[in-house]
Amino acid sequence: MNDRIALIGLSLLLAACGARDRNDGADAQVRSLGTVEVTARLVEVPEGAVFHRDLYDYATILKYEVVAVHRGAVAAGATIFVGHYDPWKPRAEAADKRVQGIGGTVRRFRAGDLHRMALETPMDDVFMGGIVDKYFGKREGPAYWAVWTNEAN
Amino acid sequence: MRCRLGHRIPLVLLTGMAAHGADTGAILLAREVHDLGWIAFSAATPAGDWDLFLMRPDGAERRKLTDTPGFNETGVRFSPDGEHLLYYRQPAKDPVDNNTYGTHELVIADAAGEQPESFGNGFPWAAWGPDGKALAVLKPDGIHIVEVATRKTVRTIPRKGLVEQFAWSPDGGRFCGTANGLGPYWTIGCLDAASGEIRAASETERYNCTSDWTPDSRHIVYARGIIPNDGGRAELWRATPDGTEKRLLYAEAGRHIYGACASPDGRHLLFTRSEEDLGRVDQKKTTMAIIRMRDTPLTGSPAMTNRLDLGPGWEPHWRPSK
Repeated sequence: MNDRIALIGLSLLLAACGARDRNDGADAQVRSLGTVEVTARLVEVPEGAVFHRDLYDYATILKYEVVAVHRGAVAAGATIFVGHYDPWKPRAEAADKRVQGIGGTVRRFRAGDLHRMALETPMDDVFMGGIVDKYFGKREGPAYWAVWTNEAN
Repeated sequence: MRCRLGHRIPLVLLTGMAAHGADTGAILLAREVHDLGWIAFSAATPAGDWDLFLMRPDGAERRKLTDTPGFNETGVRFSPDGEHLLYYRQPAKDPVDNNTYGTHELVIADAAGEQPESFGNGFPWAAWGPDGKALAVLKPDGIHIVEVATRKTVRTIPRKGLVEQFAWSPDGGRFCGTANGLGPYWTIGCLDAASGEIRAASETERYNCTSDWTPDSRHIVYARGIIPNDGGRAELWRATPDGTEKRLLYAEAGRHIYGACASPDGRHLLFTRSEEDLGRVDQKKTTMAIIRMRDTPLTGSPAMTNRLDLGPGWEPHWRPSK
């Protein structure tokens, strides 16, 4: 009996810990900014897509698989391409005088990570600056612009 | 002062020549260009801000066009008739940047810098039209053709990925500029005003920038840039608008070459030499120079004899003699 109680207690503790570690990435910004909101997995970070060069402010295009759609007309499971401004910076430090209103909790871009993002489209209507697009010629349709990018898991 | 060739040469130029051991080649080039109009450019002042300056193409008769300690003035361009100039103004505390200068406050003044009129911040990357009565302005929603007199947009054209460093061809038929969407990096794009078609004039595997038209509208001169992780230097190249013919004009070890501007008769090239990849512009590392088109392709060196060094300055523009 004592063993059973201990087991139940341990299970409850683990479940509580799991609940505490789970992060859906939701906050006021990601739920309100942009016209599209998704949780998506970063498929890869192509070589040369993210580089740190203080002299260049640029955006890079990254490939995602959509896991969940919270707002907007995007299909779950779809592959989307998202432009991130100055991707070598933590999202919370990415906004500057030229590009304002972006942010989030993601500190660096790693393949396989889950991001909850508020997006705008088409990217060209929002951002006028250099774009590194390692998917040039390999993708169709406009890219999304990452307004807010939060970690999720 | 006068040199033995009987021509007025600025002291700073002769001092530079002596220091570098240059021979009379540069003096001959200086004499050749002295009467070919005027050059306007940005340069830092002792106060630390950037003003506009005017001088003869050999560096003589240098004087200020603006004197505004609270502002940096950049991106000066003479109107096609040489009567007016446009430039951008930004607070002096904001660093001058080769990639963003055209996003600030547009000012149009007469060619002496007098009677400046602010157009405000809503006219990014403005380029003079062929008759000087209209500007092409590069905005997120397209290229706006703006009537100077009324400041009203009279026509909008899709920009097709053009994003900065924008120029309207002298014949009015095309636009060029730094563009996305033509390759994995930024490319010199040429957009046909009538058809709306854009094509890559430069290579597409590099970070190309700062394009401009030759006076006959048959070529684009531009900085053939680097791929950051591979190193190298930006070089001055020329291409046909359709990108089918490209060739090196000038390259130099230890310098990035930007902001090419052909002389009004097309026989000379004016450009910026920068020790650093630009980016933010450092006056101490940025100078200007002139070469002859007929001498190209040229590989530069610190003491070459067929390059006229003009001293510190950035993003110059050349006005015909009037």
